[in-house]
Amino acid sequence: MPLQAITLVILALPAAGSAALGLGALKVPRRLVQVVGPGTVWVAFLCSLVLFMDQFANGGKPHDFTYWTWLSSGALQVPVDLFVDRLSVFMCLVVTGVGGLIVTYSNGYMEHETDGSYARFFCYMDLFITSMLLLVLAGNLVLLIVGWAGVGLSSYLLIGFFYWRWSAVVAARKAFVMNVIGDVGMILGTFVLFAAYHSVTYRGIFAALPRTDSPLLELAAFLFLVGAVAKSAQLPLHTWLPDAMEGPTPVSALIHAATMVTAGVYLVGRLHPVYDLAWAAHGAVALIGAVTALFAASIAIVQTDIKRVLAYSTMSQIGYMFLAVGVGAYAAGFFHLMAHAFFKALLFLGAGNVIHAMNDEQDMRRYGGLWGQMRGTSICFLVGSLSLAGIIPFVGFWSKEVVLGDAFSKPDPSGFPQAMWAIGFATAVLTGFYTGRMWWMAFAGRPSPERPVSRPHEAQAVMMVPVVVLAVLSTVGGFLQINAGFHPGWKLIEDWLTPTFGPLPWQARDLEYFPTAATLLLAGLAFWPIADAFYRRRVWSVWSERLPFLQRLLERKYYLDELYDLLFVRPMDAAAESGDHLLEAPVIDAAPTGVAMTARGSAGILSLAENGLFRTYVLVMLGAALVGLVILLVVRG
Amino acid sequence: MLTAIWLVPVAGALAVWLLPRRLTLSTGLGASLVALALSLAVAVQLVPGHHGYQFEENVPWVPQLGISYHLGVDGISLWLVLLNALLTVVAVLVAGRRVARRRAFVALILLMEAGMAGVFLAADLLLFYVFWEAQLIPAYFLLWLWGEGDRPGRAALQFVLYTLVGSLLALVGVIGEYLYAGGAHTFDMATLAAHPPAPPIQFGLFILFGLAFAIKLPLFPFHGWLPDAYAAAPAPVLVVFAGVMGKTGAYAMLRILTGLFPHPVLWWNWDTVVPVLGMVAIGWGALMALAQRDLKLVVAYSSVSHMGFIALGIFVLNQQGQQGAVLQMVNHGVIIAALFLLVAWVAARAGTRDRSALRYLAPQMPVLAGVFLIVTLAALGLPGLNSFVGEFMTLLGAWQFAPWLAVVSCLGLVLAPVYMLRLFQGAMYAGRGEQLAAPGAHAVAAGHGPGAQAAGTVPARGDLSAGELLAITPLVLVMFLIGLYPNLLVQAMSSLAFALPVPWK
Repeated sequence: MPLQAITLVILALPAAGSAALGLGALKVPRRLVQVVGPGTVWVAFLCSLVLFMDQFANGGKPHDFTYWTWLSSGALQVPVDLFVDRLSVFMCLVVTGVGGLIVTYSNGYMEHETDGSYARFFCYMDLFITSMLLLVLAGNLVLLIVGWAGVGLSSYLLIGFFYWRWSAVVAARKAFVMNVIGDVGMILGTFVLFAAYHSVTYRGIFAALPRTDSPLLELAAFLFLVGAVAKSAQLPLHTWLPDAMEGPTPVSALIHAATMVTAGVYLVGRLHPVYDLAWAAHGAVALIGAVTALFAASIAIVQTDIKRVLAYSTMSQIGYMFLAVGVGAYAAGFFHLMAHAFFKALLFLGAGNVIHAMNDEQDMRRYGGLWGQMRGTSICFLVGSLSLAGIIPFVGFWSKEVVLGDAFSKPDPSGFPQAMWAIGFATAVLTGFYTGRMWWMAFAGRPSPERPVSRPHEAQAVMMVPVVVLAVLSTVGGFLQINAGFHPGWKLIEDWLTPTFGPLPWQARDLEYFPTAATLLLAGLAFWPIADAFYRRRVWSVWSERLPFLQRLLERKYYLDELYDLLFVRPMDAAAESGDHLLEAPVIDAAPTGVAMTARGSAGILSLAENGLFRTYVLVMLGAALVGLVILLVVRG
Repeated sequence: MLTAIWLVPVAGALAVWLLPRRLTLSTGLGASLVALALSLAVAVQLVPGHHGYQFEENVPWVPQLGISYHLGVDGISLWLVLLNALLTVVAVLVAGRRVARRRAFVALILLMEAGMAGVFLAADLLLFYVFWEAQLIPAYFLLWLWGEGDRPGRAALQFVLYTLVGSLLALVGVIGEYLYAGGAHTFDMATLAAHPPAPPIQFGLFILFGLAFAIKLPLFPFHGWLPDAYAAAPAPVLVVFAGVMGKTGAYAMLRILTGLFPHPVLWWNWDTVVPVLGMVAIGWGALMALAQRDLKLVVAYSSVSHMGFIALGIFVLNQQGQQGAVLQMVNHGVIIAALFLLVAWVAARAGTRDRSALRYLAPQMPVLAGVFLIVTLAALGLPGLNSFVGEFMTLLGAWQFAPWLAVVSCLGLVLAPVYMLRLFQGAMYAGRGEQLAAPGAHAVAAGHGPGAQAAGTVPARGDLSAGELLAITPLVLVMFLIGLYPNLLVQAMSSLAFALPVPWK
């Protein structure tokens, strides 16, 4: 089969699976759902491997496959074209590989749902994968927006999957609206680029780009950044992500690990020719990333819901990726994206095992003592935790070190990258702390007296296997690129992506990786003993008891939800209500009534209406026509 | 062929009226299907890129005054003729057996189809006006005699008076155009377009016609008749009212206002006025949709918002904007018809149209919920479905005209998911603060016991009937079709009856 067809199959197969499951949701037997749901994703993974082999063999020459003309209106030419290069193949492998594991895992996790809900779930999951694949394969901005919005839609559907819970319903709506704000940014950004370069395809735009920065480019880059920020849950459009925990746990894994939130990083990477020129917007990417990383990590410290800790850690880790692509270390950002996909999927699925065993209890304070009872899950979760904290030799160490090392060693007289490095460094320490806290509270010690299940059972095989695979990947995945620890070691990820991004424009020196290696030390220190001392052995009184104000500030997530409610939601509703009462009802809506009233008063149309309005109408029409004719003749004369 | 497109429904209406009642639905459906088939045949044979009318029929009518019975289609009107034919089929399908005085009802709907088809097909200004008035008469009776609510007569009266004002203005305009259009003394639209009057006269005529079409569309702030009329009209009537009738105004704006009056200049260039009204309509309609409690009114105001996009696109005077507007006419027609149907079905099942009284209907009507979801997504402009394409193009046109217009209009894109999802979720999902048990959860827990059986019987009740599903499926299919392949419509738009002031390439 030619490559062009294979690329289309990658998209079409999960789409067909989703459509089939959606149409047949009420009738398809569960066995078939279990095959179709994950099966289509796995075939897409195999097809992605074919593309991988091709890219491997041809040295990274991109393909632009055009299928049909989506729209042709004057200068606006939008083909349906898929762009296959090293970056999109990399993303496809992550999306279908990790996504496939997560969808497979869902087979077991969703077993308690009714047949209809079960099929509906896999319909949405496949739609999610389809949209994400379209997002990374799209060859032009309009198609990108279609995939972009499709991801938003499927996250809406999955977050609101338990539609019998009000909290899920509002969380879903919030995610959708926030994502639409991002979509609008993307649409306007597309307008700017089209108005300037008369093209919406990547190739057309990149070929037409000027050599120097311009306000127009900055505007476009900032508008696309709005989209990236909304999708990747970065400040200030992040508030939907913690609420998104209302969805079933595999959904969280899919949203956080393999798909959706990484889309913003992909977007900056895909549009890197624009961001390389637009220095202000590019700097904003790094700044937003670094600040979000620190911000989210600080909130994660006080969360007690295990999924919310992971949610804020996602925001924080995506912040690292933004930091990396924002300083121009694209390959480092995508290495961390892959690493994060491995260990965050692992953590969420591991947490899913626990939640499943605990009858859907998510409060870590009610766990405890799982090490002895769910040993397999505990070990895997530990691997994920160590990886998240950035401890050698797990994958998180290697990728985070490359991110921080590349930022630190970038020569810049303003010291901006070094400042970003410092924030990232501080975040790494916090990460170690909250990860340790989570681990100790949930798995170590004695079982909590409030624990809902005293003798939890280990997860079944269909759930355990994906977790173990991810644990292995999190352990060995880092050895794809070891230059952070052993310079000059091999750097396969960076080499793979070089045809897309070009080589790192500055030389990272041995010595300059060294200070960043301190993160490893400090994070490790913070991880084990300190958190242990705080939360399990209570050597020191818990810091939050001494600082109740800070505790509350963090627990309420810096009051941003309340602020947005006050600034946007309430004024909008108030404007709608008062507009209806003050202008629409009394003036605009009343106008025809007023006309009718006047007419009634003057000509007694009411009685005429009873006699037959139609006759009156014809008479009035003819009369008015005559009057008009006379006026015109007079005017003319 | 074109004559048949409007004459077949008239014949159908006569047949329905004359034949016994049990044949009403099959006769009506047959007539509307024949009209649809004829329209499709025209669509298939239309030559893209052709300049001038196609399938022309030109018979002198009053030669002394230059009036002729002149019909023709081009790449714009074709899609509206098709929309009209399709939605009439749907309207007849859903008219169903419950409508009182069914014969007259179906006959009037067919007459309305004929009138609207004539509006889209007319190539002669006076003929256009005749059809324009003709569609009003069945519309009035449909609203008056079959209106719901406490005072349907009042809504009908309001509607007629409002549009009557518009009609009279348009009539004066028609005569004025005849007298002043470059001395051509004809009503032939293509000739008139080639001989525009002097700019100040154009300005005056623009105002006359513009008001008439703005009321019909309706464009902010002339939408006062809409909430009452839409609240009173029954669902099958709304399919043609909201779906097609408003489009006659939109079509006339594009064909007559921009086509015949390219430079309506008096003292000042008023170019930005209508786009600004369109922009305000987008925001205002969305805002008002947020404030409504009545399901139908939420949809009605969403329509005001979406019609704003159409007006915006037409008057930003560039190709993307105007083609987007034509696309949006079709999109909006399909979406709003589906929305009104769904809302009516939901209201019929729940026994109320009050949004706050509805909740958690999805478990009882899963199929309806699924269809409603897709239509909701199309209505809020989800990329991949039809409405996005039109909105994207009109906004792109607006951006090229004046970027701030596009930016402010994007407010409509942000508010649309808020009011549409409130509508959909409010009716289908758990209500405020509720934590319900999963539907059928106990049945699974109890295995295949009696519980499972009981839970299994619940969802079937109240769901879409086969007939309802049959009526709405074509609309949903069109949403997907245009979303995936909008060029199907846009490529035909290269065939224009007469050049617009801004050439389309």
